[in-house]
Amino acid sequence: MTEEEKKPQPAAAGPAEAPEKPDPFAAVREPVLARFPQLQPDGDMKTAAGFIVPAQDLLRVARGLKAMPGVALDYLSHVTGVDYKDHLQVVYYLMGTGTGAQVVLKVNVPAENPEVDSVTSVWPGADWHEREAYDLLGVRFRDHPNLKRILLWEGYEGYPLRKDFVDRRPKRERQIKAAR
Amino acid sequence: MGLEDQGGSGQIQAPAQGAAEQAPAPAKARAGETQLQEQEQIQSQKYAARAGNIKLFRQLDELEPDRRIVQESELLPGFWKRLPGVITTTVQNLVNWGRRNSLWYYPIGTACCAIEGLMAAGATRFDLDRHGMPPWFSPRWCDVMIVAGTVTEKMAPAIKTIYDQMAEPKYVIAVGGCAINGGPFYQGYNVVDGVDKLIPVDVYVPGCPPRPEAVLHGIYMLREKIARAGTRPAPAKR
Repeated sequence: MTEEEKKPQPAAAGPAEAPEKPDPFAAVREPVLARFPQLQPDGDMKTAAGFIVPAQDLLRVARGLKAMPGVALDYLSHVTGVDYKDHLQVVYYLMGTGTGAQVVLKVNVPAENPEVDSVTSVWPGADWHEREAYDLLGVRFRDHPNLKRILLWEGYEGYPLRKDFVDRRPKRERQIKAAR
Repeated sequence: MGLEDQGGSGQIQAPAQGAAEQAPAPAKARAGETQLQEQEQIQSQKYAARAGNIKLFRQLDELEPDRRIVQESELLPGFWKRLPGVITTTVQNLVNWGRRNSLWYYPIGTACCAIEGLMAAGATRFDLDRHGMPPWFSPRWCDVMIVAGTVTEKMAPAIKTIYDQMAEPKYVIAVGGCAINGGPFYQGYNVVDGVDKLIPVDVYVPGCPPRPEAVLHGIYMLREKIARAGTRPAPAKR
């Protein structure tokens, strides 16, 4: 019991130190959190204001952030994914071209059944990015207009950027020119 | 006509013009002679330099006999070599001579080696065209396929098809580490570990990327290989 009590202490000391540094993204973070209290701020991001979004709220949050004055995230620069072994994470890099706001949305999905709403209805440029995430990590995007592999070919076994991926291609033999 | 119309003034001017023409004429002739002499001197210097180059190349050949490109006449007995003004050869040597001097190449540039090695060798500074090698984008007309870059699983059937479309005799040069054995991506999920797993390769040019000189060296190694094709091995002693 004493050891378990000691472990939370450094974690508790962390937030105490954090308020000393000013949040560089407070202008974006505060109105977003006021509008969507279900988002968790993700302090690890150093280039943009990061939020962890519940999977069922993604589409609603995306539409709201695109329409919110002062933030107006009208540009989706990238969609990617991370394999954390116990779960997958889909990451959306967003920018407001008029406001200069930069936001990163992260959605945690279970590794067994990775499924999340497609944001192609909000940002049409997400089409190929989501296809790439589906191709390499196996995340399925609901209501995607054309969800099929984009880099690899149809019929490829497995998702190569997963940590448990095993390459099952047959070994090739070296070709030697026949003597003439 | 003009002198008669002008009258007396023309008569006075006429001898003056003649004198002016006569006086500088020897000087012009002298200048022409000196120019000719200078040209002859320059020409003779050029010939001497060329002879010196030939002498130098011969010395280099003696230093490194293995690097030397085999001439057809050297594969023949000594008696035929010494006939002046007569070229003797075998049909096989003649065919090889034609083949190795017009190697049209099909460039398969799949990655950065195509720019750093292949295109740089084909552009003006190194200029594969002056070696009789134009790039040609029809495999039916090509003699050598130059694979420069990483070969992916998606590209593999295309490369195999293009190789099958080329007419015999056909040769393959693998440029760069990726084309040789996959390079840094040999464990990649979509990378073929070497183009020799698809088609037989004649010359490997290592490098990441190789210099254009290395590509040229590989091409000349292929030329040596073609020169030796179907002939008996070059004599050990020269």
